[in-house]
This record gives sequence, structure tokens and C-alpha cells, in this order.
Amino acid sequence: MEISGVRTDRRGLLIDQFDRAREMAQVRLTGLGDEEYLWEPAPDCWSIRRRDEATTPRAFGPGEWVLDQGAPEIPANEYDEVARQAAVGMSVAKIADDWSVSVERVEQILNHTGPLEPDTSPVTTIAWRLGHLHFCFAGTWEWTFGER
Amino acid sequence: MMDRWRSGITTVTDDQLDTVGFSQYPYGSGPDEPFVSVLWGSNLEFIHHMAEIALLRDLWQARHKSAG
Repeated sequence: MEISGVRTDRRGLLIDQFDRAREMAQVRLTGLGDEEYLWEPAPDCWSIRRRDEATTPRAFGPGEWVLDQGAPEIPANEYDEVARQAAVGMSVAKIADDWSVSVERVEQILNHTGPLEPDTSPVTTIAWRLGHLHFCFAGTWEWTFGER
Repeated sequence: MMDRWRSGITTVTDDQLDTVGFSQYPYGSGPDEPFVSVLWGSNLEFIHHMAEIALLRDLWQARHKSAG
């Protein structure tokens, strides 16, 4: 039996996907308290911290609370995307600029063969993950629909 | 904020979906791709990070149950 009302146009598809994801998010975030929100399950987590307590090199935020952020780097799970960008003609200089890394680092990645290094990124708290989502969506909104 | 995002994306026209750089957000590939790709990517980010959060919530629950 076919489900009626499923949108198959591009915008409808993506908005329906967003709506479903948001529905699941609302359920999964029910009852989240402060302690769990800030829980650091491992040493050296990235989280949301008071400005004078943050120790990561690029921690950022407009006020008292900042989001931890490390030094610029391209993680192993992006190596394929970098290779695709170079293959379609994006310059090494542009890729390096996008990631704030050196041209040499990009070339090293493009020449990489063999197994990928294990991901050494720190564990991030729920607070960090929600903060990251917030600034990505808010930022994209500002630079698409807002004043930029 | 997600309400505002959703409102925005429901107004986007087909031409705007195809417009490269409709999003000028400097910390992603928005300026270099058609807006439909930005929507595709932002949904992926949303689902990815919510899955990470879901795992942390499961581990928190497990820890508290076993602690008694």
C-alpha cells in the first residue's frame, strides 16, 4: 500500500528529512539535565566552558561561555573529500585556506597512501555537540537569509 | 533557532536551490556549491551530531543504572 503525501520534489524531500530528524532529536533530548549536558566521559574533552577556563587554542564565543576548538587540522575522514575537491580543479591554495592549514599539509594529504591514521580528536560533550549544531545552523541562516 | 531555519528553507525557490553561493557562510563549502547541497549537508550534520549525542545519553543511562 503506497503511503500518500510523500513529497518527492527536492525541497520537500530535504525538508521532510529535516522534520523527521528534528522529531527524533526532540525525543532524544527529553529530560536532559545540566550534569549530563556537561558530562566529560574521558580526559581532555572539548566542551562549553567559561572563557577563562578554556584551554583549547581557538575556543570561541561572544560572551562568558566559549566552545572549545583545537588548532586547524584536516581530519582523516575528510581526506577523500579533499581529494575530490582537488580532482575537480580546486587549487591546493584554496583547500589550504578553507581549512587554515599549510599548502604543504594539503599536498601531504593528497599524496597519502595506505591506511588512515586513527582519529585522535578529543571526545566532545553533549554541550559541545549541541553548541556546534547551534552555531552551524545559526551561521548558515545569517549568511543565507540574514544580514551576514 | 531551528524554527527560523525551517521557515527560511520553506521559502527557497527552485532557482535558489540551484544558485551557487546562495549561502555565503564562510566556515563551510556553501559559497562554492548550489544551495540544495547546503541543505543536504546540513541535514547530514544534524543527523550525525544527534546520533553522537544519543550515544552519550545511552552511556550516561547505563552508567547510572549500574551505579545503582
